[in-house]
Amino acid sequence: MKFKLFQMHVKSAFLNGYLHGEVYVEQPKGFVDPNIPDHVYKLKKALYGLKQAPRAWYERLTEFLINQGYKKGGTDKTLFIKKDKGRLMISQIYVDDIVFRGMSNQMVQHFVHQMQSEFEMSLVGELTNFLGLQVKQMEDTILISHSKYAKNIVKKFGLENASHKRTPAATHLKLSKDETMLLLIKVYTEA
Amino acid sequence: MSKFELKNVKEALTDDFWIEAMQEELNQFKRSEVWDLVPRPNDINVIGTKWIYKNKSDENGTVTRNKARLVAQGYKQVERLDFDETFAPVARLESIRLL
Repeated sequence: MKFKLFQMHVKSAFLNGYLHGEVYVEQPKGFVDPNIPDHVYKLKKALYGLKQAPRAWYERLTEFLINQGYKKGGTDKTLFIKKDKGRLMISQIYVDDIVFRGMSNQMVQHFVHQMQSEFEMSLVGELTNFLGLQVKQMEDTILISHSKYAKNIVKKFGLENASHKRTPAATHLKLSKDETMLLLIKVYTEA
Repeated sequence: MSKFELKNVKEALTDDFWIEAMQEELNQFKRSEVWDLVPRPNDINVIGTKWIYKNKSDENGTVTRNKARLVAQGYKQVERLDFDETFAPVARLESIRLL
């Protein structure tokens, strides 16, 4: 494959969002200043848990990317695209996870540097895992699977060592009324 | 490294690892210039905070990091008084698959 997909993660993303208006929080338990215990913290940036935190982060990131020459997607507002001399650079944002790809190595490197100089980043590398999906990038195809999720279910029901079957049913089966099935169904639907 | 996730700050303050984790979170606040300590205002709602303790573990289930996150008790915020707009978009799964 010509253009690989990459991913990166913004550390403590919500702490980057600027707050509009006055928001005060109590001093955290266990870390109250003994000299001024009645003082409170006036927030400049968002904290996790605040109603406006996700939006504040999205605004900060959007503004940054637009200043860097990116255009926000018309339909998907979290897709950012930059064109440079006919070459494309694409970034998909999922809150604090970013998947990106560019038509030149230079564009990709440049994007990583820009992000790293503005935010604290981690897990920079080729795309392998995203939103619980496993991604395998090969020569001319990409394989997306839910293998981790499937394995966990198998584990949950204690079938890690069970043998495989081509047809998921018995070949010579006589049907009869079986009340115990109802209980099993309940267990399986929980998964 | 502490192997246990704790329920409350009282427990956490008796554990050196968790104290360090909380300190690390507050250091991050300092680096990011999240807040300033000021006298309590008279007529404005002050929101409570809560420590959340979470262990990060590797593939084998071994605890690799004790992470303390200080969160605001957003459910105590009053609409229009404390906040207005809250919508934030997330990516459509179609876009992600398409990429």
